[in-house]
Amino acid sequence: MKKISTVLFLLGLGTGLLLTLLWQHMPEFSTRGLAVTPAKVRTNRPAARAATQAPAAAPVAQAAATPKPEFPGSSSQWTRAFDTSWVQAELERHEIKPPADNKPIATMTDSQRQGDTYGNYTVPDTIVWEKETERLVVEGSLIFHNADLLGSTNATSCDMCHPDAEGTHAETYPKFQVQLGRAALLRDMANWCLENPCRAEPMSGDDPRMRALEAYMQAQRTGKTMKYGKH
Amino acid sequence: MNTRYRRENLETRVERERTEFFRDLKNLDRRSFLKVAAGSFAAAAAAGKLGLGSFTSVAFADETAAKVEPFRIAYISDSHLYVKSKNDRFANALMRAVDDVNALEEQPDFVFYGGDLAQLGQPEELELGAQILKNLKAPLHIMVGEHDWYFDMGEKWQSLFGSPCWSFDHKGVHFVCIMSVLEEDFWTARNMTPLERMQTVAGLDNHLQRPFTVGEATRKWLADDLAKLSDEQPVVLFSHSPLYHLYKNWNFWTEDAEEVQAILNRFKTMTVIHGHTHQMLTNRIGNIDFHGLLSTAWPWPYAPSGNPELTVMMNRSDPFNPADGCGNGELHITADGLVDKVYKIWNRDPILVSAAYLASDGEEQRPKRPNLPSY
Repeated sequence: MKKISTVLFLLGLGTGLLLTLLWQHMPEFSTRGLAVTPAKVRTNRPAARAATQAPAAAPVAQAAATPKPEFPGSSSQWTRAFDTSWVQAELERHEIKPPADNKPIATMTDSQRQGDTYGNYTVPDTIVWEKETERLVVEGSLIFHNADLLGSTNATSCDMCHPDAEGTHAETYPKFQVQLGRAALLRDMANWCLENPCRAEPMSGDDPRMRALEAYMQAQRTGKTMKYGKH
Repeated sequence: MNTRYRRENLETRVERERTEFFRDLKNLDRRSFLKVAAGSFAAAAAAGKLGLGSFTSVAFADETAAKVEPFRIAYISDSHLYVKSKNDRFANALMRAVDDVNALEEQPDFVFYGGDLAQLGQPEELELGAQILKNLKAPLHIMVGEHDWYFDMGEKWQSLFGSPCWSFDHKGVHFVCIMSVLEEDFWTARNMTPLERMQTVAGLDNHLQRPFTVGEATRKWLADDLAKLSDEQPVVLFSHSPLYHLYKNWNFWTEDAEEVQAILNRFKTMTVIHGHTHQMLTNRIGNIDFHGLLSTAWPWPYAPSGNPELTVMMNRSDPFNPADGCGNGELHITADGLVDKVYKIWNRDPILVSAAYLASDGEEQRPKRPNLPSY
C-alpha cells in the first residue's frame, strides 16, 4: 500500500512537471512554427529598408513612422534559430578590431606543460571564445552607429562625433571628470552623451546595450596603454 | 624679405627680385629713378642679360605690383542639417554662423559655404539650408559635399545652387570650385535604395562606400579652366575633400589627388580650401597650401594616422559644451594672393594660420599649440 502511494505520488509529480514545462515553452513552439524568431533578430535592417522603399515624397515622415527597431541582442542567442547574419553584415560595414587569438594555448604540445586549469580546451574552443567575444563587440558597434537603437530623439548617433569610436579613449577611465565634479566611468560619459547630444534616455549600467557599447569602445582601443585618470 | 621664398629656386628668385625692383621704382622721384635705372641697366648689361625691350617691362611690372588688393572672405561649412522637427540643434548652429558673419564690422567680399549643407541629402534639408543662408548680407558662393549629393545624385542641390563646378576672378585672384566627392557605384550591386546609399555615404567610418575622386571629366574641366592663366596668377581652389591623401578609412582622402595636384603645381601662388574634416587642418605640398574648414555641426577627432606635420591641432573638444570645436572663420587674401586662414572656434580665441607659417615650413608665426591634445 505504501509502495503504491509512493509510485502514484511520483507519477503525479512527473506529470505536473511535464505540464509546467509544456506551458512555459508554449510561445516558443508556436513562434518557431510561424518562423518568427529569425525575423525578430533581423528586424533592424529590413525595417529600415521597408521604410525607404516607400515613395520618396515624404521620406522624413516615413522615417518617423518606422517602428522602433528591436535590439538584436545576445538575449536572443538562446533561441534555436539564432541568426548571426547581422554580425557579418556589421563587420563588413565597420572596421572592428579583432579579438585576441588564443589558439596557441590550445596547441601547446610540450609534455612538460602544467595542464589546463579551466577545462580541457581545444582549438575549436578558442574559436568559440573569439566568436562569442567578437559578437558582443559587433553588437556594440551596431548600436553605436544606430540612432534608433540608442534611443536618440534627434537622429544623432555616437559615430557622428566618434568615427571608429575615435575620441572615446576607454583606456583613460576611470578619471576625474571636471565637468561632472566626480570620478567617472566610461559608461557615465556614454550616458552623458546619450542624455545631451543624443537627447536619449540614459542606460543603466547593466543594460545589455550599455554592456555592448562598452565592449565595442574598449575593443577599439586595443593596443593602447591603460592609464586611468589620464586627461 | 618675404618668407615665402625662403627656399626658392633660381628662376623664382630672379622673378621676385625683378618684381621687387620694379615695385620700388614706383616710389622713386625722377632723379632717383634715373640713378636706379642706370644702375640696373649697368648691372643687367654686366650680367649679359640685357635684351631688346627691357624697359617695356615697366608697364607690366606696374600691373603685377598691385596685382592683388587684400580682401576678406568669410566661410561657413559642414552644417549637416536635418529638418528642424527631427533636430533643431544643427539648424540653430548654422543660424549662429550666419549671425556671426552678418555681425562682422567689415563685411567680407563674399561668403563661401564649404559643402555638406544637408545630413541625408533630403530636399527639405537642402531647402532649409538655402533659406537660412539667404539671410547672409554678403554674396554667397557654395560648394557641394557628399551629404548633399547621394540621395538624388545632386539633383535637388543643383536645382537650388546651380553647377557644382564654377570659377570667377575677384580683385586679381582666380577662384575655382570643383566637385571632388565622386564615388564609384557601390549601391547597384547591393540593391540599395537612395536613402540607404545616402546613409552609407553619410557614415564617415562606413566601409561599404568607395574613396572620393575628382574624376576625369572634372579634372579636364579644371585643366581647361586654368589653361588660360599665367603661372603668376594667384589661384584659390575649393574642394570638399582634402586634395591629398590623409586617412582613407574616413575619406579624408581624394583618390586622384596627385593627378589634380599635377594640374595645380605650375602656379606659384596656389591655395586649396577644403571642407569635410571639421577641424583645424593645415598642409603644404610643393607650392600648394591646404587649409581645412570648421564645421558648425560637430568636430571630428583627428585621424589616428596621416595628419600632416604642419597641422597644429586644435584643443580637443569639450563634450559638455554643445558648440565647442565648431565654428566658422575667415580667409584673408594677402597682397601676394596668398591666404591667411582664421579659425573662429566658438567660445574660444580665434586662431590664425598664416601664409608665412606655411611658406617658412612651420618656422615662423607658428600658431599656439594645443594643451589638450588628441588621445
